[in-house]
Amino acid sequence: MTWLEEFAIVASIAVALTGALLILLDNRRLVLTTLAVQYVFVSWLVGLSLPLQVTAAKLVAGLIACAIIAIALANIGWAGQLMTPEAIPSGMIFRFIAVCLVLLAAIGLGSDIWSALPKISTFASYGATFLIAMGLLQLGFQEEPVKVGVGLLTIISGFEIAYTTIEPSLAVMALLATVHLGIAVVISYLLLIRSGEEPELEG
Amino acid sequence: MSAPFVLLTVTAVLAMGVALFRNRPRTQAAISAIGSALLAVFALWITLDNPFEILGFAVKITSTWLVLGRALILEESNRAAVGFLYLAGAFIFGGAWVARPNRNLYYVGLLCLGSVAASFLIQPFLFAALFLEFTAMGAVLVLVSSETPARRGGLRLLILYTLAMMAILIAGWMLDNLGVTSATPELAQRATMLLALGFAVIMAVPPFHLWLPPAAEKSNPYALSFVTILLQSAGLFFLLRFLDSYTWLRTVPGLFEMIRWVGIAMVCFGSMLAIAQRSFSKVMAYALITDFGVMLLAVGTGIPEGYRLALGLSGVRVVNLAVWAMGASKILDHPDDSFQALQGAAYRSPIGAASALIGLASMAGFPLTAGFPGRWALLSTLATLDPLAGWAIILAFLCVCAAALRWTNALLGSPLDERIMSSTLTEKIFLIGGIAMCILLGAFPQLLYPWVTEAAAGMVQLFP
Repeated sequence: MTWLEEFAIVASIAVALTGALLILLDNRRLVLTTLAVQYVFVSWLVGLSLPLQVTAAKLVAGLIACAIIAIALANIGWAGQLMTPEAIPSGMIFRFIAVCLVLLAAIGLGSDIWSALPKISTFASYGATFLIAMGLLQLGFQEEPVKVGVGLLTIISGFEIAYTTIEPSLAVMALLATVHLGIAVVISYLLLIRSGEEPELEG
Repeated sequence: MSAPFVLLTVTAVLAMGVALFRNRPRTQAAISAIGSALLAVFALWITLDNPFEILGFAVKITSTWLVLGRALILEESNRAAVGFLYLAGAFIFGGAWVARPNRNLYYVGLLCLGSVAASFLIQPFLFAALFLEFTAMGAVLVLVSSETPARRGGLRLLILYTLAMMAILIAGWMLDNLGVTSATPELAQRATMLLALGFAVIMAVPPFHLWLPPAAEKSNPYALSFVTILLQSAGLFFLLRFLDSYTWLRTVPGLFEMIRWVGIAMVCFGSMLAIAQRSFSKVMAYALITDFGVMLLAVGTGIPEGYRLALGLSGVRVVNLAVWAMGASKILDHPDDSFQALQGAAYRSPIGAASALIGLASMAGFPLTAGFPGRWALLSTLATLDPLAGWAIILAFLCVCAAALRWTNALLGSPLDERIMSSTLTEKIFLIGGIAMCILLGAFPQLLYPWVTEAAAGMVQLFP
């Protein structure tokens, strides 16, 4: 058993915490930093079933996705266009309580929902459940592009932790990494469009 | 050199080439349309795996392209579908400049076309879900632009397709690796539920239609038409491939009945809301949901004639939406497309108004329009199989026609101002050509249906 497997519980708890922080934080710099840290721990959990080189490639793809969104935000101003939906209660206390409830539900579900997957480790399955639960909660709270993008990237990260145990082919890994980058590009495009700047894609 | 490599590389090169002409929409439209048409010809008629001569040079085009251990294969079973896709693309790009869509439509549109083509070519075909996700990403860029910056519809589309991708990938893995058959009911139920969730999103089954109304309201009509045609055609082929590849799926008790019930619900939901809309674009959004419902009713028959009708309806939708979108783009000259704002639009742009209304009437299945023959044939098929579904189609016809009449009344009302929206001769030719095609296909459906239904001829289990 390698140290990655031995201390996998650390990564599992860390992804739960980073997932929760992504919902609770409003400062976009902190959100992107937390997302980058989350990618490190996601790579750790993915590394339980994939060779280290492939895991490193996934980490790099994740960090590039963060960088793409960061560049767009730097262009429009980090605090620009921060919108809070009026219809959904989104105060800090409400979000905190929701996060706690969803985390409890995720602990309850635990690894049961991945029972059909034969090779997934317990900690990886908990990590995947935490991330998908937090990502879904994030999508439920916000319609602001950065938050939606971060929510989607969180869900896909959770999905990848589980899916790589059953489909470790390089082509699929590459395509899933491209999905991360694609979502980051789309979110950046939406941010730049809204700010009135002509994004690169439009020529 | 392999055929999938040629198809996808040339598509990418075309997309880059089109981007160079960003201020010349006619050139962009011409390059995109001609390029797509040539790629369709290539997909349909190129000799695969056997050497042949071009200008004295011996050439051999192989059918398989291996990428990182996975294969993209152009073969008899999918080449007609790929050809149909590129021809539909050529048709849409050809008329696009009349509607003045945002510039992304051409080059991102070409990339989307390539992505959907890749979803047809990839083996195992389950990974098509990933390419549909890429298409959805491109669709967001087509829908949202600096001219139409509202992003709610695009974001919802991205969220829903991401969830669908994950559901289908897990379901696909279960089907391939866990030995799911009708003899393992618990596993079969899980896999079917995941598949149902994935396809409900792809087919815009309420409540997963949430992206469509905001996108219709705020995006360029032509951009919306392009996205809808592409995503729905890809989704339908994907669904049929599932039904073709997993025989047990077709034997799941009540599956086709469930599909018909979903279709009936969509038809009722879409038609009721279409008639209640006070925004012209949203009428089309709900008419589209009705149309998807009718298509599901055709798939839900569970017989080859039904699948053929579903494909035919999918082909007709290309014409209906293009005609509607060209006309709607002419009469919607500002973001407001309410009843009051469009009053008298038929006087400002008579051909544009006629085109928009005929497109909508054809979507409703009005006699002598392209949408009628398919619905009539489906009605005949369902009369014995499921009369309730037949009544749902009649309800859809009545409601969407009533909506079309209501908007005709508005467009023919007294104009609020004296403005005239002039069209160039070429624009008039395109608009009249679209209207003529809509009526021609209504009178002579044999010009389109047999050809479109050939697109799925390679699915030997479904079309024995």
